[in-house]
Amino acid sequence: MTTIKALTTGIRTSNQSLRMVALLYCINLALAAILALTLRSIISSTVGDSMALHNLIKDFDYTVYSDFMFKHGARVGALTSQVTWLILFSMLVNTLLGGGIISTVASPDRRFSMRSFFEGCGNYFLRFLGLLVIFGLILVLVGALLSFILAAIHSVLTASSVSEVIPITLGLVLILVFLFVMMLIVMMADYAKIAMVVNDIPSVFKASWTGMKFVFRNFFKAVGLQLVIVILGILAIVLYLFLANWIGMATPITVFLTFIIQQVSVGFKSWTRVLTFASETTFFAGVEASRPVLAEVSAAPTQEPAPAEPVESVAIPAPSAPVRKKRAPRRVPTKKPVATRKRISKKK
Amino acid sequence: MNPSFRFLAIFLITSFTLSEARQITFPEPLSERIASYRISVTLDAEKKMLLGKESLTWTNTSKDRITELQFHLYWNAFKNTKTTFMKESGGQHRGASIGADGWGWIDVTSISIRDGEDLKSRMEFIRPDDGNDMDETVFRVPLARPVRPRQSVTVDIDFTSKIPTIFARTGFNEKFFMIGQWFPKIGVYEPAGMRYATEGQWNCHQFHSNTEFYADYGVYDVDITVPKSFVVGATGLLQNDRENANGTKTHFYHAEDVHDFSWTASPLYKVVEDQWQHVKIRLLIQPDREKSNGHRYMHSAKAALQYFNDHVGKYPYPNLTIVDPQWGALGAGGMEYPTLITGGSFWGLGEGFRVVEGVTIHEFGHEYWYGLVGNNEFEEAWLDEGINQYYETRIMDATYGKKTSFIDFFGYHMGDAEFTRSNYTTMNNPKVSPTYLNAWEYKAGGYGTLTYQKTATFMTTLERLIGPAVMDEAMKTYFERWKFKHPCSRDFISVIDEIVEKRHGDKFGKSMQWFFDQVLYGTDVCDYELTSLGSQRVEGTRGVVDSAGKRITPREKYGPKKVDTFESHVLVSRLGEVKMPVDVLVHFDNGTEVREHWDGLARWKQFEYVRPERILWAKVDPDEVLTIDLNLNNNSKTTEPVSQPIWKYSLKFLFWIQNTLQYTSWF
Repeated sequence: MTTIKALTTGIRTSNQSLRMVALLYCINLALAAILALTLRSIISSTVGDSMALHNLIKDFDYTVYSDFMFKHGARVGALTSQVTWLILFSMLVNTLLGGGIISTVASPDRRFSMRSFFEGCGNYFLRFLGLLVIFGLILVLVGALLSFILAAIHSVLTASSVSEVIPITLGLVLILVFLFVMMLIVMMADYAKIAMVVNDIPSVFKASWTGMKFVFRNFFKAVGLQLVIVILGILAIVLYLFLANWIGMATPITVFLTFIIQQVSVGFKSWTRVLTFASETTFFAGVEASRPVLAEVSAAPTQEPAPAEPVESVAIPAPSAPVRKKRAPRRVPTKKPVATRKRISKKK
Repeated sequence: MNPSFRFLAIFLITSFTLSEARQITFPEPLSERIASYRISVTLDAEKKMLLGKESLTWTNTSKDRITELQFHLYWNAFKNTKTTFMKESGGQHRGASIGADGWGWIDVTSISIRDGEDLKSRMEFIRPDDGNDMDETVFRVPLARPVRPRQSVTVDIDFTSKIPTIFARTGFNEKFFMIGQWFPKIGVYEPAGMRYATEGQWNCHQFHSNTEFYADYGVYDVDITVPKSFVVGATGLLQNDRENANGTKTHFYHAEDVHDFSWTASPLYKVVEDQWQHVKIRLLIQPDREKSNGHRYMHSAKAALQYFNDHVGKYPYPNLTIVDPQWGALGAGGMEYPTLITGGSFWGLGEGFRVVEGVTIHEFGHEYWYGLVGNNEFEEAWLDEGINQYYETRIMDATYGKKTSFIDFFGYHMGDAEFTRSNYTTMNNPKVSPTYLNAWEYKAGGYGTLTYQKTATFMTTLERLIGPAVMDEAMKTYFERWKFKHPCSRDFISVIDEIVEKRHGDKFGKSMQWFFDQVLYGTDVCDYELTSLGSQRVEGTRGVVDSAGKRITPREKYGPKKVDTFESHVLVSRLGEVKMPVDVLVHFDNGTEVREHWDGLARWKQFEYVRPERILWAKVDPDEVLTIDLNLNNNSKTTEPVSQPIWKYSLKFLFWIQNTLQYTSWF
């Protein structure tokens, strides 16, 4: 499974799930609108009838902004302090929705339906919440440790620097390193979720481990896929900034136009989120399907074996013959006798 | 003659001739030249020490017999944690902290009157401000023979100094040295009648965290010996230099009619030179920053030179040195010395952040306010910092745009004057202290904002009250009258009174003291508000009216058109305690306007109208004269609010929240 194939499949899947994208967008809009409309109300009730607002029609006016924030900043501050709670709530909502998204993109026909979407949300919410806690802790701990290490490296390497070129350049590089590691952890969380759905793993710890292993085993392809999506996101931001700066918001029409562009940008990011899961799921499934199935060789049993279940054995292929991959059927995990496993080598 | 002796004689004569060949800058002295110095100093760049020999010629221009001399030893402020400076600053100053081994000090190893008494045993540290016996920044030496009026005395002083790490404007960082306030410096003797002195007294304060400096004018001849690879910049003009056998180089500097001497040395400086009229500008810049910031320093320096030349007076010196401190030494930046200023810049600093320009223009302005007009920075810091901040806002806005002069980045912009104003208007407690206060007495804080930004803001208000042309005339008069002297606040106000009366008569009363009593000496704040406005329809007259002895209908009297009219009111209020005269502009819906004038004394005033038109909007202080008004947004009201800006910023906020939720919830 190549990165390109995973990406193109992901794009196709995302385009087939535009209703899901719209749902994500609407939820994001609804959450954000609560605060935005409150701000509108604050501005309107405090300085709404002041002629000073005329200075803001065509352009930004620092004096109007500064006087407003000093006089009424406490109210705005109370509002922006709610952003933290909103972020936490939004994370929970997105944890809920994640199950639905992955269920949809991992389903055989990859078609969105409200019913199956919300079923997926419900099925996986608690487990995804567990993953959120685990990877949240990992992010915080690794982030703190890495910050400390990188800061120490920076300090040592720039201690006697007489020019800021090296501290600034090195600082930027170390920030990129930091962000890269954080991105890896987020990727592991994504693949843990995907593994949980695709392989129906009930244990959050096992799913976490599976996600981590998957990223490291397929490091370059997984990172490559993620970087392509990140670059798409950055290009979208650049395009928005360019358009917004060009159009401006000096008249009611341009305010409306810019609003539309802003919402298109938000919608695009919602689509990108679906694309991320769809591509990663395709990539994961593809790689998993191409993994060799391990044959189990019984040793002297130390306990009563479980009732025999039909297991297809894989014939040892001829050296030059391609191996037909066969996935083992889904099994409910049971206690199995300890067995030694013999890895059967095969040519890909 | 023995050849060796002949060689030695030639060498000595040549050296003496070279060192003594001072280029005279001004044919006639510009100042009284009360304190003139000849200093030889050697920098030990490895041990971070200075070894100096100083000859001070001090002239008693008063009518008093001077029985003692008082000196500053500024660097003793960095000696330990118990000095007045370190106690007040908590070890932090201008964003820098003194390092573990970064302490500094200055020791007078010998002091004597030329051909006279040895004063060393009579040196006594004094603490005229706070009695802190750990503070050794001021000493006195009583004289066996008083200095009579018009008599001069020459004092020879040997000193050694330990250079601190960059802290409080001066010190070293690696091989970068910025050396300011580094030599034993005589205080100012104020005879009765000078500034506030009712009797003759030395004005020689301890070095405090918030204070700067005060000294008399004179001539400086300074030779500076540094490692040969170091580039040197200093106050005054380089006369010549000489390489020494021990790998050092001596640079001879001469400066006339200045009250301080500072210098800098670093092997890393790149020298860039330019010219503005008679002034040679020499920029000592870090190599990495030359390409991005060199032109910014030069452009802003020239803009400042031109502006001051046009609006205040001529810059008399033939040179200006600008120092760009290296990374790790930014605590030395943003400082002024006669003919030498330190700036501040970063590699890669975008042109939309005009930090380089702001600092350069501000520090150059100090060549006038503090350099040429030598106010006492200990006691009346507003006279240089505040007035200079006012000029910084004028020059920045004139050069780079009123709304964009300070920051202009991605559609968000800020002018220097409006940023300065906002620093004052958004103070947590603008009433914390008056602006007029000894710099070390701002115990509850507010020194910086009140001295710099509040002063600049009320100076702008003053300018708008009396008019820009009158303000310029007043400032030019103040500059010409007080350059090379030591004015006080009273002297400044007196000049303002004189020019305002000359140009405006008694429009503002007999004096502008009422203005300064409120904004300079007082702590009250200003806030005028357009409290309410409205128009009520008054129905046309019904019934009968009398006309020419007859009783007729209103229609017969007034004609067939409607006779409805509106009773309108505009209520303005004074929310603050500062009282200023103010205009009120009322705009009606037919486009006509009425401008009212209010003396601003009462708590409120209501204007009433009976007209066929309704009021559309009204503004108190429509020309924004009162920049000290804490809230300009409440100065106006309209009966037809616009919603577009509200939607604009609400939608921007919506977008910002949406993005935040998306990025933080990605996980």
